[in-house]
Amino acid sequence: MSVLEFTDIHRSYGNGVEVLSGVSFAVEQGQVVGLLGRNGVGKTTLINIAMGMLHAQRGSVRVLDLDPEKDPVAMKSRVGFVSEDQVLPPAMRVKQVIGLHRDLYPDWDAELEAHLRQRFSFSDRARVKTLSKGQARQLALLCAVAHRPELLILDEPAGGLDPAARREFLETSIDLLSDGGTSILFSSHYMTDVERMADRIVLLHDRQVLIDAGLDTLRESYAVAVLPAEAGILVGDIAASEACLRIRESRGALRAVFRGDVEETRALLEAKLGVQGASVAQAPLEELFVELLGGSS
Amino acid sequence: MNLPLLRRDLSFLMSPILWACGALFGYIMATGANIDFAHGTGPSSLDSTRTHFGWMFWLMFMAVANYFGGGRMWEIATPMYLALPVRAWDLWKARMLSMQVAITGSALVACLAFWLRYEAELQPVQICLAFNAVCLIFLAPVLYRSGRVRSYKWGMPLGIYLPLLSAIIWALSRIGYTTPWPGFSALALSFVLLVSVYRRLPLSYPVSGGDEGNANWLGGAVATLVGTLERVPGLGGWIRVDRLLRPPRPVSKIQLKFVLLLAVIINVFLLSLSAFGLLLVLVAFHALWFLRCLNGVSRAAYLPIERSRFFVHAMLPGYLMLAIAVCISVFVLPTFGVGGGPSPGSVAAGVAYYILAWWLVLSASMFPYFTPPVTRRAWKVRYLTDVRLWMGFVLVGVPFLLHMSIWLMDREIMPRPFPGPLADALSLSAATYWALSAILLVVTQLDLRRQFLAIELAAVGKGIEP
Repeated sequence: MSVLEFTDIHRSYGNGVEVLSGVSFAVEQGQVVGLLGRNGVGKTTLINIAMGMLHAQRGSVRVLDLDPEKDPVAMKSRVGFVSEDQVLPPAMRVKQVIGLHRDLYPDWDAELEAHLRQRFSFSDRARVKTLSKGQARQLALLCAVAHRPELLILDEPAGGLDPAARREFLETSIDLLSDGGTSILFSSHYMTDVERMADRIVLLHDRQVLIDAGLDTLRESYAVAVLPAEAGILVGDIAASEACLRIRESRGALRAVFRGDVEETRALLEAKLGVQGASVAQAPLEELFVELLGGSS
Repeated sequence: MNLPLLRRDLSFLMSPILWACGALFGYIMATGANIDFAHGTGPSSLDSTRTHFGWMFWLMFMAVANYFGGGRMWEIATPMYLALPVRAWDLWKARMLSMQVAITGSALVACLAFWLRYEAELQPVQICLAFNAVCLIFLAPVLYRSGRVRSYKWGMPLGIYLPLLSAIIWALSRIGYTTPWPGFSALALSFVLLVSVYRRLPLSYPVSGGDEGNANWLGGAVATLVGTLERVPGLGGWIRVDRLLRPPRPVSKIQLKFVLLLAVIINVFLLSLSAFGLLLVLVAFHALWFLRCLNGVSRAAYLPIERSRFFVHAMLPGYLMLAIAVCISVFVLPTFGVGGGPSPGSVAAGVAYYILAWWLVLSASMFPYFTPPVTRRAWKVRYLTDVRLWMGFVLVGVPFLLHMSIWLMDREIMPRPFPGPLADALSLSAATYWALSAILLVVTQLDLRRQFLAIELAAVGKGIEP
């Protein structure tokens, strides 16, 4: 059953620039989906559309089988949300912030709240502005999960945090997930985080979904080949191959990403394209991300 | 936790507030004792006010001693206290010495303020202009040079903000706006303002003894003037400022905020003493409130509540504030003599009451703007358990009822069947009011003491020998 479903989402901004064009994918119950893409590709826009904070000009979105624009209160009370630029009111005390959220969410779990407060060791009287960035994010996470949401949406949740704070944030999120069937959609630029958390990757590129695959499948289904830039290798021929997703020149060599595992890719290069001496390897996520979205084609 | 920094900030923030409360409270006590509430007037002659001037000094001394003893001296002693094995007795001796100096100095300032207002007969609007001009001359160069002002989010350095306000006040005076009384409070608060700023600046001009720790506001003022002259073309090479003045330390954001807030409060207060000015203030407050609520709504878009409902809840305290302000301006202020035939005692009492009430109501209802009490339980928590709000209502309500009755009786709308008992009742109400004010002051002081005590204990906990 899908807890979140985007269907043919289109969205442009006032300057006429189209950010999303026909984006479709779904998040199933219990899945952890990493939303990836370069800066400005529309990740936050998509998340804001899911939260009913932005309007999709075309297409539809269903969250927990509800329309975020028609039933915003019912939908939001079942969803948790943390974003990088979410600024909790600086003058408020920790106790007040939590109190506000407790009042608004009918299914607030006081035990979970107490557990998290103990874990994060906040002072009740501390004001938000006196918290460190990591603590402020932890407070936001507490507010987002203590009502045990069915869907947790995290928009760059660990952005700007140091590695230790990021790890603490992720571990808490993972711990919280393990005991419930919460689905998670999160966007991030940290590939290590994505690899630790996600079951599935959705990669946005050029206003559309470029890759939508499980993490294991993704690792096995793509290979990166480094080809010596010698005479005789026709970039056009390689690029024209159906399996080649992208090819670019870098530091005197050609780097290409192929759909297929290492053996298939090597066979393709040697047998069909006549390329000898290529170095082919399974692509780590970060490598894959850079190769697919990084340099010029 | 950075203890020295925390202490410094605490003392910086709390001490001037205490000082201002103490000064105003002292003045209320001194002059309020003579207020004849049954007739809605204060002491009719200057002499009767002078009779009680001693009371004012006495109470003011307490507050000032707090200011210097608890704030200034604390600040000077803190680094030493934490870093060196200073005996507690030495610290107390230093504090006592500081109090002596403070008492003498503040008595002189209070005399000067009173003399300016009632002997030199300086017109209120002149004092108001003088206040802003003093701020401009003394503060702007230093703050502007600090660099922070230029990047401050309000977008305007104080050097622009204050002349603008001065211009507004001047323009108001040209179209017939006359404040019957802003003198004493303006001077007192401007003194606080100056001291608050200069005690944090590099006040090492030789007048003050050359040591930063012994610096005083006078030294700071002289240093600033010299610094200003340095910037005048042709004079820069003549005055060897580098020999006289250390490079300025940047003014911290919290200090700037405090100073700006204080300047705004003083000016708002001065403006609000006339109907037109009050209208401006109310409109400005309301616009600010409205914008903050909008901002709150946009920040809270992820929460499961309709935006319109959130907005209405967030705005309600604003309307409450507006209603109270209108009541004060329509009913209470006129009975204090503002707008006709002021007497120093009654007007000062009115002004002090006005400030206290506003402070309480605003602090209780305005600052948690983001947290509209969206559920019934939250409403209860917000409005039934907030002591500040209740005290605000008491401070507004008791005198309001009191003066409302006087106003009605004076106009013979309400009969005065039992003048004697009624007068007694009114006196009792007035006494209750003064007592509440006193409690407020004591509570504030206790709170400060508690905070210092906590810090002291924390320092001991760190293994630092007092």
